[in-house]
Amino acid sequence: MGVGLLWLGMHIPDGFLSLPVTALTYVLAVALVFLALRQTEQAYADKLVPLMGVSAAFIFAAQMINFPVLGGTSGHLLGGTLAGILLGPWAGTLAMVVVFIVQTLLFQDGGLTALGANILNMGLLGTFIGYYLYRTVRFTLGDQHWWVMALATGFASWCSVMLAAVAVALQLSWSGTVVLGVVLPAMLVVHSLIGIGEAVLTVAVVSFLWRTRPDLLFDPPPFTKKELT
Amino acid sequence: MKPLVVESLFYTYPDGTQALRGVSFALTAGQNVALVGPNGSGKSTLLLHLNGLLEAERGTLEVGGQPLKPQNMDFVRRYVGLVFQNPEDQLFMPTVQEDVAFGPQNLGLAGTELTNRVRECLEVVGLEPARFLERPCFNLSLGEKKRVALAGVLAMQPEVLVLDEPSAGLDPRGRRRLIRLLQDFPQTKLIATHDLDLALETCSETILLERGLVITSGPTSQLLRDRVLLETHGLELPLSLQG
Amino acid sequence: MLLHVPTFSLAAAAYQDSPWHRLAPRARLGVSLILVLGVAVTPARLELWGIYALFLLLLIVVSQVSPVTMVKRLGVELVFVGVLLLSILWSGQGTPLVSLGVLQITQDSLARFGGVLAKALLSLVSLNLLTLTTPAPRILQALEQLRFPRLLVRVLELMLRFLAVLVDELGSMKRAAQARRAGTLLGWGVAGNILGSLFLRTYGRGERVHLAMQARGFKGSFQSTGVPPLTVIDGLAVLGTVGFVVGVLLWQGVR
Repeated sequence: MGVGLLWLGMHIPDGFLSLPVTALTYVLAVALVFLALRQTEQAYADKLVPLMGVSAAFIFAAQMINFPVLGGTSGHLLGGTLAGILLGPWAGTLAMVVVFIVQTLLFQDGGLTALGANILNMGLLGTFIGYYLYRTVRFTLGDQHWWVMALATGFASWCSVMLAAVAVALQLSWSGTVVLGVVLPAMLVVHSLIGIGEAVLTVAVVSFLWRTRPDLLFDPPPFTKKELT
Repeated sequence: MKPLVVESLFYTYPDGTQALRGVSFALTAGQNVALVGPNGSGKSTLLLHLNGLLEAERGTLEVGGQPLKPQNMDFVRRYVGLVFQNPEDQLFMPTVQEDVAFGPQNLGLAGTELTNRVRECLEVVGLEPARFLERPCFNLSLGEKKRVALAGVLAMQPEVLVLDEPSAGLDPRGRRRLIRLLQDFPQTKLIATHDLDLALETCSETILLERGLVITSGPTSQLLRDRVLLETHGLELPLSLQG
Repeated sequence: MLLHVPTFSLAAAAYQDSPWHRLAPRARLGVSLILVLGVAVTPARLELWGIYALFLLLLIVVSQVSPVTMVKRLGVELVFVGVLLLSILWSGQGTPLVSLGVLQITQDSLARFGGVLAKALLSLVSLNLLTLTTPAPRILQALEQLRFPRLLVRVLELMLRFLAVLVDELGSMKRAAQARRAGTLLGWGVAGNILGSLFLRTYGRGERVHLAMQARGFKGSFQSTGVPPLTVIDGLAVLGTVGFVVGVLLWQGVR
């Protein structure tokens, strides 16, 4: 069973969560989406909505591209931290939610009953904590250099993957599907590698934008010319 | 009344590129004007200002006698019809019918009035409604796509028609058909183009733009004969005048 | 790899006429979603899946969607979920049935594979029925009418449009790279640049599409060609579907 879960990676399929865990994660996820909607509508900028659309499409496509990890396992970009860095935590969460909805409904990738848990694991943990880790590192080390941004981005993406892995393990063990002591170490080992892939890809995309269109980042670097409005 | 008046328009892109550096000109009703200039001269940027898609950094714009302000954007978008260079940017509804109907629907048209408007406009651009209404947009030929895009803008019944590179990518027959259409349309037209022969055949006046400035403007037949002027600004004599 | 996306935006059977087509898009959306939800909560049992399959078959007959179109679309989609499905097949522990070196197919994993495949198939058929007969703007309109948050609908709408653009751009970039003989394996740096410029190009195209929409008077929401009120038949279709799902659940509970 444990090995099977590793193969499936982060998206929890139907039938793996117990009713209480399903209900709890759904309630939390709906609350999160509601809050994110309120926050984003307040800061509603016409520019943000197309960027949300393109980020969602991009992450959706990137999640389909698997890269090999040790021993034949494969991982793919989760994109939560990327969404946070591009759109900020609230709009980033919404973009991820849209990605999950389409994936769940159209491709049955991640079950409908596990949608709440998946939103929490990759939206809340990936986007929110990922974003704030990135922000903290970037602004603590000084916001001038490319390498600071790269370090912050890489560190945050890796951590967000690890956190999500812990969350998946906890939800599965609370559901009685697996034994925590067996699954947690295994999940952590595999995801520490998947996390490296995540970090490399996220840094690559963010660096490219940093060099070419820094104004598209949620926290543009100080050398960006402010858009005239 | 001049349908379109532009006064010392400035625009700088977020990345710092100065695209327009004080452009002024005016169109007379019913006139066809060509806007020529090398790549990167600011033609497309200027066109985007004309129906309020970009906000001028400095300078004024008057459309149909009204200043361009957020309050009269509805009027401006109806008054000035903008046909994009790449029809892929413009066609996005699933079928030809729906795409042509998109503009007038936004103006509040519905029912038989809407269907009639769509049919008329398709006929005007030479696409038989019976054959094209239900066709999906994505598998039309480029020439057909361009004509559907044109029909979609005509369906808003604009007074001023602004076209960005209308002949780019068309085969000779498609281009000939387009020239005939442009000659027949009654609207005031501003045509941004590298196709100087098309300019010569369709436009009485020409504006030469380079690096965000109007270098000169005047009757097309004179301006496009001036080999020295054209070659200084990255253009060359129209083929029909090279002899 | 992403070939299926354009086919998704393509409502191939949208302009036919059938009792199913005469349902309001809202009702069609409702029926499809209820069925997907039903498939998700129904226990994994062969006879229950059979009942669902029959119900869906009935809907396909009623909607007059060509079975060929449906099967073609399913084929493309299954190739796509195939990676995930295969990983399930090789993953289990238990009595091995077939082994290929390290890879083993076990009884356990075979059963799970079958289960996921059946569920995925049923859900996909149900959703394909919706997307084949209903153009994307109608589905989004229906979502909006069902009080789905407007911001999410707009992001959803843009995402679907950008996805098609992304695939276009990816195709042309791939051709350009092949033309310059960029080998099959790309370095991390090159791959990063490709991803980055893919993002930017998509964004640029998206910006232009958005501008073109605004140029034709778009103000943030699709003007509907008149929202048809829900008819009794729409209501019956949705209620009937709910009844079916609940009925199946109860029936299997009784046994």
